[in-house]
Amino acid sequence: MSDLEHRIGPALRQALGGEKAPPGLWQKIQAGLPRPGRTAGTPSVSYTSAPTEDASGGIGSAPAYHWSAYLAWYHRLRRPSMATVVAVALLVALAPDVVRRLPIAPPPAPETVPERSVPAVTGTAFTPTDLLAARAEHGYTAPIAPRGYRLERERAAYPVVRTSDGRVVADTRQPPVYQASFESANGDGFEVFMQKVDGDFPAPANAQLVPGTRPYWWVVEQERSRLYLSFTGEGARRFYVVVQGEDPDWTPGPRMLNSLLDGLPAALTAPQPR
Amino acid sequence: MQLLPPDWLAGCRTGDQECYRLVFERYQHEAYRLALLLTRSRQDAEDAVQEAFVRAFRHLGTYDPLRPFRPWFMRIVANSALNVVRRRSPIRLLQEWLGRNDQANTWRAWSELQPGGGPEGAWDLAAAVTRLPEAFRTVVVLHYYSQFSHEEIAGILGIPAGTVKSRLFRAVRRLRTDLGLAEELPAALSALREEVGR
Repeated sequence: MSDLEHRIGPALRQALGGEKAPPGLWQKIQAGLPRPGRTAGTPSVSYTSAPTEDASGGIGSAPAYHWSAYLAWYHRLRRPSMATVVAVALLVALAPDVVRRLPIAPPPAPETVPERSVPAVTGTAFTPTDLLAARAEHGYTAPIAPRGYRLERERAAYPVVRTSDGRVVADTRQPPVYQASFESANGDGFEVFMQKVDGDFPAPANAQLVPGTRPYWWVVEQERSRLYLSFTGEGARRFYVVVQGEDPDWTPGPRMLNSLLDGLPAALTAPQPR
Repeated sequence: MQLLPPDWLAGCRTGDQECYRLVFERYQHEAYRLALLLTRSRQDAEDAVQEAFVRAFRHLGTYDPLRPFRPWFMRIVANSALNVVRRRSPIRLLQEWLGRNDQANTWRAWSELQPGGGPEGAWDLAAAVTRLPEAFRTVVVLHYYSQFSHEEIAGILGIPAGTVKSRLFRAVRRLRTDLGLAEELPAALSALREEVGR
């Protein structure tokens, strides 16, 4: 090793000598940590097991994945080579049954409501269901409001569908939508971010990407002193909602995310895909 | 060889927040420095470290407690930092290229605050490393700063070990050029020159 090579490591260490991890990082990391009682390294829901199949094709049969599910799954691979692209494309095209049995089968495509029974989804209205029941069934945990803010309203609801005979019913086969609103006691605004831990979840249609932040931080329907949060757990395995008070002393811009002090995270476990 | 204390590991595996915090406090600064070197952005480095700790704690089941924890964890930090770099949007890359991105300028601003020079031009050398193209800078940082072997770097980057060696060689040659240093003569040629000189 040359003299120059011997000097590179010490030079970098010297240059970085005063650099320390920013304060507040631990609070952000805590939001993504496994909770007591749940063994670290063991995800609560696993997509890695292949669906079972029986001869009758009834309950328990392998679902027919939509091509977009494979695309989404494939998209998660890191920098695939062209050979991998071709191999996966050929495998999916020529032997879909084989792919379905692989232990790395992708999450199933969102279920579509059978046309005969439920021809239309209104898409905008929701029927509130008993939140406690929804929590028990799906593992939702209520977010905790930061200091000075009040959890104003919270509910879990299933999307409403119109049946063929004209009745409007809650479609319990779809993932419920979680909704919450917060109100500030002192008139200050605040931000809500959703942090994905694993899996993918679609952003609500009204979500906006916070400029300069990671792709899976979203802020949803905020006003100056009131905030509305609404999202579905569809496609997500586990994620967290962090509610954070807005400090007027914050420097605008991305650094705002660095001072996560008052926000208390709440774990939200999405329903298992069917 | 620095092993993770067994009680910390056991605590982390049962979700003990205090044990998580102990591990975090021991490795946070080193992880942040490595991420900063690889991403050249404080915000990205913070994101990478956050992601690395969460990933490490959630996948402790794959860690062999009989092996040192630091290399295992630093490999996760390096991968997280490289993922953050890869996820940068095209617009962000364009801004960085044009020098109009505040986050990209973080590194520049930081470098200007450092005391100039330093013993034996250490700062010049460190600054030259940060100017290397990403592919070269990554292998230099992982090898000379984090002290990963060629094979370990190959595993992290998903490239052959030979490519790692070749990139290191070319990176060092670039550093010499950048710092205005003459190419060092191979040892055999140096010996011959000395003999001729006598």
